[in-house]
Amino acid sequence: MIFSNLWALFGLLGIPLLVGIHFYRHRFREQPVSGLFLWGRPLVQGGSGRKREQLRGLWSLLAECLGLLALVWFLADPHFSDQQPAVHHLVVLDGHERLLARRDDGRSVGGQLLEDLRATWRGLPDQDRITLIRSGLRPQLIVGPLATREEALSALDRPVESFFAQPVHDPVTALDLAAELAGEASGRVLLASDRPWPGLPERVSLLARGQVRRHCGLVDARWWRDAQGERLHLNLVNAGPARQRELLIETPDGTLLQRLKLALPADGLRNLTLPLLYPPESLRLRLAPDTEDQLPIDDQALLLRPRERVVTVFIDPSLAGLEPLQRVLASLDGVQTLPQAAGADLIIGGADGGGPEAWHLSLGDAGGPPQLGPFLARRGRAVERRRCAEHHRRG
Amino acid sequence: MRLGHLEALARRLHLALDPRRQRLGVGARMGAGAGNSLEFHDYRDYQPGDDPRLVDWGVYARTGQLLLRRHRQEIAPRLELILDASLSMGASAEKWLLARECCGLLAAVAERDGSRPRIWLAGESCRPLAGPWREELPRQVCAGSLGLAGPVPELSPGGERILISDGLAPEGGEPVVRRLARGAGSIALVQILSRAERDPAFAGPLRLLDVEGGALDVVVDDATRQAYRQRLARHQAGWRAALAGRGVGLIDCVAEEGFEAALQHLLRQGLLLMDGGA
Repeated sequence: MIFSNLWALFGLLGIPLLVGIHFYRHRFREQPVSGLFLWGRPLVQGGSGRKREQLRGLWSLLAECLGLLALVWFLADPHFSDQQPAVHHLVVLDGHERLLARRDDGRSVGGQLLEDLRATWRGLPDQDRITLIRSGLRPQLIVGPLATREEALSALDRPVESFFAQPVHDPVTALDLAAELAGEASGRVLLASDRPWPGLPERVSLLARGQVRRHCGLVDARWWRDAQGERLHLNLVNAGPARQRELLIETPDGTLLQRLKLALPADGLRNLTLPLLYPPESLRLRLAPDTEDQLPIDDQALLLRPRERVVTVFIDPSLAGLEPLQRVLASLDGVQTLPQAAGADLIIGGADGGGPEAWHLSLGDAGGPPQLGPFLARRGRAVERRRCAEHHRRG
Repeated sequence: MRLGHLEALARRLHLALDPRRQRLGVGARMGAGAGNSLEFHDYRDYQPGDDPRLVDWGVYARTGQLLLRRHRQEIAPRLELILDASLSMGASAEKWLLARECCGLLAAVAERDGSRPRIWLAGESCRPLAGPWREELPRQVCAGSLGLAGPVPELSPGGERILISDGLAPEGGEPVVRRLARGAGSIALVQILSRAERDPAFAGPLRLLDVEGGALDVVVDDATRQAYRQRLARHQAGWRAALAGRGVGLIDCVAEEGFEAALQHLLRQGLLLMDGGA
């Protein structure tokens, strides 16, 4: 055991002093009487003296000794080891504005998180340090780094709304920053959010105060067109136990084209691809109403058929070694190679022609120093060094 | 104890017990109620069922009224002597000696008077004196701290009860009298206090040790002693109030003044009567 203030132990000398005072405190001569009650209340009780007597008032002595021991203990400030390091607590606070949503008890999730942090920090030892990072499109350091407990607590006094005003973002950036600040040793990273985040690093603990509600909806719907034809790619999410939902595919005027019964897994995603053989110009996707769905706003989506866009390309036949490029362009959907430059959107080579809107891509040695675009300059590959790609719009 | 002296005194004394409080049957003394003695008591109206032999036919002949002639009751009172044998009674040798001598005198007078004396020792508990009092009483020593505050023994109903004590019960006289006077014909207290107990002469810073337990640190000065005397006076007044109407009351004796002075107090207070008038 280590004492911060060794001199305080001299206070223990007070114990024999106290005992001595108790031994010598009474100097009264004894006088036997018959009716003690007739003498009333004592006029003098106690007092120091020189005549040693049997110890009386043992509880009083014990209380005084205990009080002295407590005082010495406090002044000596004993602790078991000086090696006890201060712990660095790094808290990443999810700054998304959805954390202002209110729970059933009327309190916002964010407000509850701040309360929890406040309570946790109050119980921390004095030597611990705190860093608070608010996640967002750009993480912001709100407290610290390595702030004291009082500083951190005072920083939480700001309005709750000021902590949670960020749009959709991924807290990974803030977590990376926290991990960087935590270092290797004693840093403890905590993510405070409204939901569990799967795949958090082992070192990161989670404080989630959100409230789970049963809900399913369309999170992604795309109309896809490629060489295989047209099709729909859908993603449906389900929060809660597994269930079945009906998906209705309609025209915007309400004509039902297809009705699908979908089994949605518990707390998971369901991917779906639907080929469109006779696609209309637009589609409305709708999940059949369900009373258990707490958030029906995302149960429908309106999709417009993507426009067909064809890019015409002419490749100058005088250029050698461009066969691979021709093969690549031929495999791309929406790209049409033309045998002549007239009417081409993109002319590769030095050939003239094309309309005023046509783009020209020339390959070969340029007259001056090569002008490398940022991508090429950064990559610095040999093949790009030898050849200079110049693209410009003539006109 | 001077037993011979006590016996000699007893021959010239008798108890002045109040016959109106006596409720026992026949005996050598006249009771307060109607009984079967030869001494006339009073008349009362005849009630159906009364013994016709008790009708005063002379009165009937003169007045035509049926009256019953009643005679005084004969009683044999029992005397219960409750001697406080707690440690406070042994605070001084004179105090304990005087208490026993008073007790012996009263017992001897009661025997001579036709009463049946019984002596109780109230020390650690209240128990009757085992054996003849003339042999046992001189051998008794003080013990215990309960005294008169202890449990009440089975006392004879209707008996005359005399307490011999210093009366220094912390709870005061009233609860003691209330417990011991239950069912008694009368009750009185012979209070024996030493001079030091009446008027303490010691002074200075003292630890007062009660002989029956307890201690108190106190600086004794004139004011303290004055307060003590006032409390003692109030304490005795409490005893007197409790004994009022139950007999001769409190008879105050000083231990150091000796037996003769105490006898004078007993006579003056009317507990004992001298033959041929006191």
